[in-house]
Amino acid sequence: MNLNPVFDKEIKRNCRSMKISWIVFGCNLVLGTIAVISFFGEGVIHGYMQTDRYRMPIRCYMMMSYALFLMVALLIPGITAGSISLEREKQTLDVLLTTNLNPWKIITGKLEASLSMVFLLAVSAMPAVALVMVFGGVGFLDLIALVALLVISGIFIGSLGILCSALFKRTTLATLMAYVLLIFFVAGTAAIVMIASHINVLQNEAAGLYDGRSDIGGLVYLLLLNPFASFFSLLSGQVGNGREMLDICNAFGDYSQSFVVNHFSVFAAGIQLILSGGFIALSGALLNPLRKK
Amino acid sequence: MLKIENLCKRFGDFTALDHLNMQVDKGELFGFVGPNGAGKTTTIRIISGLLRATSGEVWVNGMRTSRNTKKLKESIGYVPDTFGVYDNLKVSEYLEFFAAAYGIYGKKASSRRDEVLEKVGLLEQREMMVDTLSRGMQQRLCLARALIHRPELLVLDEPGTGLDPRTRRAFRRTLKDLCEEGYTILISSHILTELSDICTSIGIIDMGKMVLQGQIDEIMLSIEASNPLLITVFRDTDRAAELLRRNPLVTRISIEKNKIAAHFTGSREEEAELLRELVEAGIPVTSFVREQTSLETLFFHLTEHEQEVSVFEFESGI
Repeated sequence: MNLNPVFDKEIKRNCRSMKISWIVFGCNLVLGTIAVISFFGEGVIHGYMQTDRYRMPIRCYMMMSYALFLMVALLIPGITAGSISLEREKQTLDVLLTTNLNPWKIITGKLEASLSMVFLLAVSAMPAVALVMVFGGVGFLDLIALVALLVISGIFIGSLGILCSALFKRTTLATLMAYVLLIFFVAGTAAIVMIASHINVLQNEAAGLYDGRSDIGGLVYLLLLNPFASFFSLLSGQVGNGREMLDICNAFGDYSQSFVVNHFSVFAAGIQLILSGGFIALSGALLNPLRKK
Repeated sequence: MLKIENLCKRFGDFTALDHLNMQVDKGELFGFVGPNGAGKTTTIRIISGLLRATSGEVWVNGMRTSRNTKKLKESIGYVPDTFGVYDNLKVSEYLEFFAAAYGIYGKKASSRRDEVLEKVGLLEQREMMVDTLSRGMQQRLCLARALIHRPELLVLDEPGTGLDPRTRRAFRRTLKDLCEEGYTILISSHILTELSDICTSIGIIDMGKMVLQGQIDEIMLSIEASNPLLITVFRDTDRAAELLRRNPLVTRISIEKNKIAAHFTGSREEEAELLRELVEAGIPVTSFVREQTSLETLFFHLTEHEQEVSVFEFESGI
């Protein structure tokens, strides 16, 4: 099977670039530092084999997982936001568009290349993250689920970056907008839910109900668009009591019987993948020079 | 090979192409000339599938480009006026990437890569990084890239921009060789004299309209036919003028000392007949020629409103 030519070309170029090596080194340095502090810091002081310290490796796993997510969230918009606009700025896009590669193939090639970066990060981080497996509490399947959700988050954030790159001609503006949109999906969705809840409480109080409870109905599902919420929900299921996400949602109404909230990370991942498909399709349409305006 | 019918392109209120008609036959090296802003690049971008026409049709090899985008892309090799190259990529990898973009992989891609590199004289540089090549080499690589999928039509938009005269000459020679190999080439420029050396046909575009098109030989003949006959006589200027006035094919004459300029609408054969009449009437004719006009003069005449810009461009060169 032949690779997508754009993906193949990007991989060749990335492999020769020192930037990727430095990114992988930096990420693993952060993860290594977390592991060292956890095991040789806290462990040596308190004795990590003591029974009351059993949560220490779990905390270490959580910290490393969040660090990985943070790195993906910070790096991917920066990489993908330049994928199309840089081709435009370097005057290589026109030539690319006159080949047999359709805009869809160019976009997917670019996305695959940025996902390979997520894969590289996730795989290179495996040895550090797998340290916690020595102590139990986190299994191999948990690690696979973590990598899978990281990749899905990478696809979502990456497609967002590519959309900005296709939409804005200048890389600096595209990068800025990619981060702004990511902040909207992470903090904005949470803020909208909280504001809606607060308004609901005020409305209840105006109607003479002072129990401080709110019910924002279906608006809570806006959190399904939040890549951090899906990641939090997965980790809650792996190393928490599995109810943390439900408890958060219940603060905005009663969702105890909601199938979606009870399987939050799965639904969030699915919706984010669907949304990514939409972003990619839109990017492809924007890139098509013969589209009707 | 290429046929353009009533092509229009508007950008808001600005009309870039105004019912442009053009035809390039198979095996031709067609020079597409016009001053800046005449609509050359717009036309080329529409032909190459990079821009949507407001109205009109472009046919390549009998196919409507608006309906056969994929076939069109396989038939056209496009060389833009300004282009960039990828860093961290070798010359061979660069061409293999574009071969793959046209669905050519493996050994077929390698052999085609070497073939086009040899054609443009870059075979020895195939292991070099693309971004370390000189501007001239990059231009040749861009041509090699446009040839990788064996297109029938090569479309080059002012390819000589920024090249030194020696590299320009070598590039023109390569184009001539490609034309002899059977490629149909459309090359745009604002330097008519450079194109007239290599092109078999030319089209002059101005303000989005084709003002002149045809084979260079035919154009030169038609230009000359509209020029006056310059007749120099040793003596008997008045008798010669009288004889000329009596000829129904002479529309206007002017006399300066022993030189007569006669606007003659006849053919080459009738020209010879007129000369014979003069000689038989005993008039000592010392010279009898059509006034010479160069393509360059014609270009300036046709694009008169842009003359100052054109003069500047002539000097700045492709």
